Amino acid sequence: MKWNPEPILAIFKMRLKVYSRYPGWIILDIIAPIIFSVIPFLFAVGIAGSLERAAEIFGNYAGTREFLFYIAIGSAVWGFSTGITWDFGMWLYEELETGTLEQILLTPVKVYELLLGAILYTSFISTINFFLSITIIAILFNCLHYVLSIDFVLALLVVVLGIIPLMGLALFFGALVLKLKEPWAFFNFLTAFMVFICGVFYPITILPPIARAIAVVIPITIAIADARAIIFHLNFIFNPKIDLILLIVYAFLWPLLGMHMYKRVEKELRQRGEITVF
Amino acid sequence: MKTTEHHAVIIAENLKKIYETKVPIGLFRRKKKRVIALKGVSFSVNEGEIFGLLGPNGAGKTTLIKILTTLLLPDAGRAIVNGFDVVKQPEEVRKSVGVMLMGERALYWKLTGRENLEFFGSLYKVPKDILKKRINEIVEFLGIQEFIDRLVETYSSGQKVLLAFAKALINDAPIIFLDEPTVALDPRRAIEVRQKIKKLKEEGKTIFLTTHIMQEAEELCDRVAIIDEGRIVAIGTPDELKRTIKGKSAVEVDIVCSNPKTITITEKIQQIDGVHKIAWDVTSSEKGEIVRIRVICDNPREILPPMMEILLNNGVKIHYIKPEEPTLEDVFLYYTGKLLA
Repeated sequence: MKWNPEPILAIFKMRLKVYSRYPGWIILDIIAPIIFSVIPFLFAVGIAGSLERAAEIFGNYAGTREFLFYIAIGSAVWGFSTGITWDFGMWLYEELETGTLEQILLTPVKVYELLLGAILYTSFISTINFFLSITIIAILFNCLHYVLSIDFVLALLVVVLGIIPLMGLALFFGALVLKLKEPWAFFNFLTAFMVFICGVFYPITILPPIARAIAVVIPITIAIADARAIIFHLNFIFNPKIDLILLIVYAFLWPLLGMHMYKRVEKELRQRGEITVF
Repeated sequence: MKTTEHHAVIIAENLKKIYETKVPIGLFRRKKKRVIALKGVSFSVNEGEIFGLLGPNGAGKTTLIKILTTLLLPDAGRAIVNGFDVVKQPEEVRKSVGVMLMGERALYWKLTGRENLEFFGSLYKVPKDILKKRINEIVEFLGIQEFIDRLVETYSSGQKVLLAFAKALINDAPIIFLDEPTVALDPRRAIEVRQKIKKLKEEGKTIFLTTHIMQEAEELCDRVAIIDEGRIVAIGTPDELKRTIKGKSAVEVDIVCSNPKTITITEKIQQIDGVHKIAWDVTSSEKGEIVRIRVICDNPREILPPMMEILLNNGVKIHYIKPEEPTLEDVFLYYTGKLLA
C-alpha cells in the first residue's frame, strides 16, 4: 500500500497555524536567542574581568579560546535538541488538557505519524531559532568565518544524525509525561539536569567519571561535543568512528525503547480511562 | 417469501469495566477507590438502524461509547464494531466509525471550523480533493456556512456542537456515534439536527445515540436500550418497551413545595397500594420550587384520592395533576426508578 504522509503534514500545518495565531510567541522566539546570546559574554566579563582573560582561562581547559562561539554552539545544539526531545511530550500534554488528544486518538492515526508530525513542526521552529542565535552570535562577536566554513556544514550533519535517537527520547519522555501528568516539574528538573550533564557550557571532560558515563548515553551530549570538535578541531568524545557508531546504535535503541514505553503507557491510559485525565 | 435479514454491525458481549481511582486523603496520600461502571453489558445494533442508549448520569453510557470507539479497553467481554474486534483491531474500528463526544473540548479553538475539519479529515487520510468536496457537502448539509470560516473561539456553544457533529461525518464512516447531539442547541436547531440524523439513516448509516431527551429517543430511535448502574435493564423498540409496562398508568403531578417536604410526600405516596414507582425533579421559578412528580401505578382512579389527601394534608399548592398514557419516560422510570430529564 502506498505510504500517505498526510497525517504528518496535517499535524505540522495545524500546529504552525495555531502558533501563527499567537504573535507574542513569535516575537518571544525571535528575541529570546538574542538575549541568551549575550549572557555568556556578560558572565565572562563579570567573572574573568575582561574578554581577553576569559578567553585565556577557557582555552586552558576547553582547547579553544573562542568561548563565546563554543558556548553558542553548545546552547544552540542543546536548544534544538531539547526542543525536539520535549516538544512531543509537552504537546501531547497540551492536547490532553484541551481535550483534543481524545479526538486524535479516535482517528486511525499511528504513533509514529503523531511523533513525526510533532517533530516536523519542532524542527522547523527550532531550526529557525538555531540559525538565528548562531548568526547573531557570529555577527556580534566576529565569528562569522566559522559559520561559513565547510566544518560548520559537517557539524550540522552530526546534529541532523542526532535527531533520529532524539525521536526515541521524545517518545520516551512523551510517555512519561502522559503517565506522570506533571510535565512542568518533570521538564524543569530534567532540563536543568541535561544542561549539567550534556556539557552545554563546558566540555564533559571536567565532569566526574560517573556523570560522564551517564552523559554519553544521551545523544545530545554526542551531538554537542562532536559539532564542537568538528568546528574547533578539538577531541571527539571517543573518536569520530566510535561516536558515529554510538549515534547509529542510539538511532535504533532509543526509538525502540521510546515506542515500547509509549505503547505501554497509551494502553495503560486506555485501560484506566485516563485519556481525558490531566 | 422475502425475509429481512438483520446484520449486526455492533455487538457487545458481557462487557465489564471497573475504574480504579485514587482519592487524595492528604498531601501525598491517596486512597484507592473502585467504581464498577459496566457489569456485563450485552446487546447488538443492526446495520442501518438508529439505536438509542438511555440512562441517568453515571449509568455507564460514556464508558460504553468509549469502549465501542476504542478509547477505553474493557476489563472483560468482547465488542465487535463493523466486524472488527475493538481490542484486537482498534485501527480498523476507528476507520469504521465517526464519533461525536459530548462537550466543547473536542475542537481546536484557535483554528476555524473549516481548518478543524481539514485537520481531522487528514488524520483519516481522506484524499485532499475528496476532503475539500466532502467538507463543502457537510457544511451545506448541516447549514453551518455562516460560521464555518470563523475561529472556533468565537462560536456559541450550539455552534461548537454543530461543528463537532460535522467532524463526526468527516470520514464518511458507516457507523456514527452521537453522544447527546442536541444538548446545547436551541429548539429550532435541535429539530434540524434530528432531521439530519434521520437523513443519515436514510443514507444507510448506523447511528448509535445517547440522549437525555425522551421525545428525541421516541422520535428517532428504531430501538432503545435503557442502562442503569452498569446494566442494560431493558431493550427493544419504543413501542415494545411501552408494552412491557402494559396495564400500568402514569400520573403526573406539579406542585409548589420545599425540598424536605417533597421527600416526605413522595415517601408517603410510594406506600399507597398500587403505586409501583415514583420519581420527582425540581425546577425553580419566581413562585418558588416547582416539583414535578411522576408516578407509575396500576390504576390512577384508585391512587388519586389517597394521593390528593397526602398533598392537601401537607399544605402544598397543586398546579396540575393528570393521569396519562405511559410514555418511554415511564418505561425508564419503571426500570430505573429515576427520571431522565
